[in-house]
Amino acid sequence: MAALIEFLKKYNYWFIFILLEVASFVLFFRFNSYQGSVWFTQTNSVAAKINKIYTDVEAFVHLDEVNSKLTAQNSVLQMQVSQLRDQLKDATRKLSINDRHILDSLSGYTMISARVVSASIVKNENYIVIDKGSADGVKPEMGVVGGGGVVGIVRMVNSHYSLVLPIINRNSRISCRIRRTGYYGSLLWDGGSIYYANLVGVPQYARAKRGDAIETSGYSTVFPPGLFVGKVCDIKHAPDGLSQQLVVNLGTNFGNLRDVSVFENLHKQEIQSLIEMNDSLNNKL
Amino acid sequence: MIQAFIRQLFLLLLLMAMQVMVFNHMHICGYATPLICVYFILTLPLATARWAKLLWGFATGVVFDMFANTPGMMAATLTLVAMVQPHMLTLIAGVDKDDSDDENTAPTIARLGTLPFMRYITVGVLLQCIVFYLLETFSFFSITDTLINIVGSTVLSTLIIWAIESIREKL
Repeated sequence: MAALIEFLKKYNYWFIFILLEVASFVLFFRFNSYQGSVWFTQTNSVAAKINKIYTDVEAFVHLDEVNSKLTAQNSVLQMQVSQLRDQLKDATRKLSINDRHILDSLSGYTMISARVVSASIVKNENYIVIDKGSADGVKPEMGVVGGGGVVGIVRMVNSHYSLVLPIINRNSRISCRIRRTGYYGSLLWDGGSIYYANLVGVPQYARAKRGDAIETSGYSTVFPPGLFVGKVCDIKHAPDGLSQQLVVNLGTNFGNLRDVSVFENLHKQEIQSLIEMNDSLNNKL
Repeated sequence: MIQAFIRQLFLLLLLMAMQVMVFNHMHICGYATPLICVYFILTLPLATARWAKLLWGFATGVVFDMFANTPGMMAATLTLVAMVQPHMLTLIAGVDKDDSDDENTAPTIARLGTLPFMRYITVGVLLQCIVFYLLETFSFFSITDTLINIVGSTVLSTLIIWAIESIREKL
């Protein structure tokens, strides 16, 4: 007995080592699924707050630069507006049914502007935290768009922060189409570079070319149709031999993403209730 | 005793602030990210009990994980580093625990000499980067990327730790 106690005394650090490693790996496996990481970012308001202070300070330091950029952009935009207003006068009479449809569908969306508080870009399961939450009207499944194009989809919200699943997460899947021809596929990301993603499931006969613009298809209610996503920079054959895989150079630079807008679809409720009605009818038959 | 503890805590907070606010946002060429929290574990005073070193390692790792959103990864890594730190000191830097005449004696650049100290730091940082990045990718699928990550981060972290240590020495 005395020998045992002596042994335990001498090698106590081994037990502590094993205990702490077990604790680490419990954390590792318990919290490393995507939802798990939410515990550390979302519910941990301390970390979120400190991250917010950091971004605020950083934003303040860059204010000068941002201001001059905005002024320049503003004047360009004003010129564009006056030009477009003239063009619109002629064009409204000639609008095709399709264009009118796009304008109609856009009118069903409102935008909430937000700022990126923290983001990871070097992992396989990246995430972005933005500083608007349920108190500002953000709900899960809303689309997020930045200056360069589509950013991702809101995954979870708490009162003042939301977690966004960006395109550069292996669980992300966004329905997109080729702007020129209208053929669509799913935009996936398989790790690696944050500048490229793959559009898969595009038919062989879609005749995609390098440089073609990729935009959202609007088939899900998350994004309105026609939002810019990126440009085709390479075309490969999918392993199944039936479809093409387009390598898309993403329009959004996740490395310096700061200001984003969250899209809210005002008609989502109606669309959802239609789908549910259809489901319940099918169940009855 | 208490004074030494508070000094350690202050150093830890300072290092974590630098890590979280500055170094976590650096991704040189998308690969090399400085991970300097291991510096705190590597320079714990020689007289620190082994169980205390383990707890320091675990605590440092958990704090890092909270901010870097890598639950458990850095905690597991730094606990391991804290476990082998005394052996590394003896094997690589040639320091014996009995050398310590004072409870505050720590393995510093002044005490070990530049070359042994850098050797010791490099091995420690390399161990940290290997374990951390293997846990983070958790696959051998993109092993080249992981290797570039490990080498890049090791070089960068070692240089930064060298700089910090040199500044500390001058103070």
